[in-house]
Amino acid sequence: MFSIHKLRADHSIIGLIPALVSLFITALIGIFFGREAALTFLAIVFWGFSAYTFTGLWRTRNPHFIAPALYLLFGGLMIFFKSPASRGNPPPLVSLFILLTVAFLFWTIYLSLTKKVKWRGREILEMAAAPVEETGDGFTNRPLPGGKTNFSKQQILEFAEFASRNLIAIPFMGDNKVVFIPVMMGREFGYMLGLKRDYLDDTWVSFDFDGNVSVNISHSDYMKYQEALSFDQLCASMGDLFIEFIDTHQRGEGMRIISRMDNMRVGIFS
Amino acid sequence: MDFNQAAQLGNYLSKDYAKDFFSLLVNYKDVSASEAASRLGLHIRTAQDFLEAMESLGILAKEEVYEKKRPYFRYRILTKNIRMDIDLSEIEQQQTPANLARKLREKPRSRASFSMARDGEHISQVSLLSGEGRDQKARKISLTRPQGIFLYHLPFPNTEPLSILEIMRKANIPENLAPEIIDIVEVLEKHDALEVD
Repeated sequence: MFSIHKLRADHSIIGLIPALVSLFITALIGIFFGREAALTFLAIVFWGFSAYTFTGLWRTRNPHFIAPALYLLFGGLMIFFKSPASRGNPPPLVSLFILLTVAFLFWTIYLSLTKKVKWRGREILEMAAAPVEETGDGFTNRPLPGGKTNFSKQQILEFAEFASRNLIAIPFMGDNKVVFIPVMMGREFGYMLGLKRDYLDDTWVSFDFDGNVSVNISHSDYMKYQEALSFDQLCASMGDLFIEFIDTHQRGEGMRIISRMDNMRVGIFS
Repeated sequence: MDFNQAAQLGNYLSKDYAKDFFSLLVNYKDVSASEAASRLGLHIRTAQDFLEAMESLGILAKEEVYEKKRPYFRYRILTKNIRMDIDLSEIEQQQTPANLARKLREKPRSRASFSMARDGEHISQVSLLSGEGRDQKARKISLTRPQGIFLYHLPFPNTEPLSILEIMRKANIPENLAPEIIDIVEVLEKHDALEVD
């Protein structure tokens, strides 16, 4: 399926910053303190990212996070034990670490290419914009009341679990509602680490258990569109999209949602 | 007594010399500004302002008298019972059909910024920006819940405007709360944040 993208091309390197910074610090440590210290630091970085990925697994219940988490864990062990001679002879387990690292690396690459560990915020924004042809700006930082639905609390909660597991959106559970926050690749850190608890300035779609739907599109996300799309229609379309998602999911066709997102042909890192 | 007169009276009653001044006025047949000032240890201008204000409120009467050829005023009290009776309905927002029929929507690129309440179901605060650069100032107005729900349902910029009454009905706001809704509409209109037909 061919789709016309309405978002600007993504040249952001935010998602790469932690890795680049880690490599830079590793290089500095190598220059000033020697190779052994640098590799020790790099191993700790790998374990740190592994712990972070396990956090993602725990928060989203997306089972595919296990592969990158284990790749980083064994990669760290491999780096820590293999390199410097000063650590003595490498333990016999090192060969196993190398084997596991390579295996999980290839599994991780496969999962990345098939978008199993991709946050779908960009797809959501593209899909919301697809039916909007009218331009005219009209941005406001107020949410749009998106009408009423007949979904039960159970249906909304079941979709929340599905959306979280498939990285469609991060669900925030309120006392009487669920708020879905579509997150783009590289923007998930705050939520995954539990540092970001306030979603009000982000893009979100809220379903309360009385059936009321509200939609908010953040200014930064709105500015990602190539054209100043009619804001009113864009918000309405975003609300309709999530209503359609819940409807599709409750019919037992959740995979159809994933398939539609895959068909948007959004890059794996954006 | 209208609100402005009451405010003027209240302002003078709150002065630390007010009780002594009235004591002078009720005990003397009449008094001039210079006599009152010297008796109470005030500047003559202060005494004169006080007497003039009380005269304009109808509490004192003044009479022009001459000392040799120089004229001056003497003041005497007209009543020993000052009543402050304010009719607040005079300043109540008028809930007229015409007022409620005014169509409005948010103005594009307005300098109003809306903050959502924690529950995400209404707007809790609106910040109105004025000035530019370093001189920029933000006036923050905390909203009542009906006002917050009203602004939550306010039509977006560039969309079809709705009347105040239509928005109130859409937001399930009882019509008897119209005065506080009209009040916030007027504030936003004054700060150029709304387009009003």
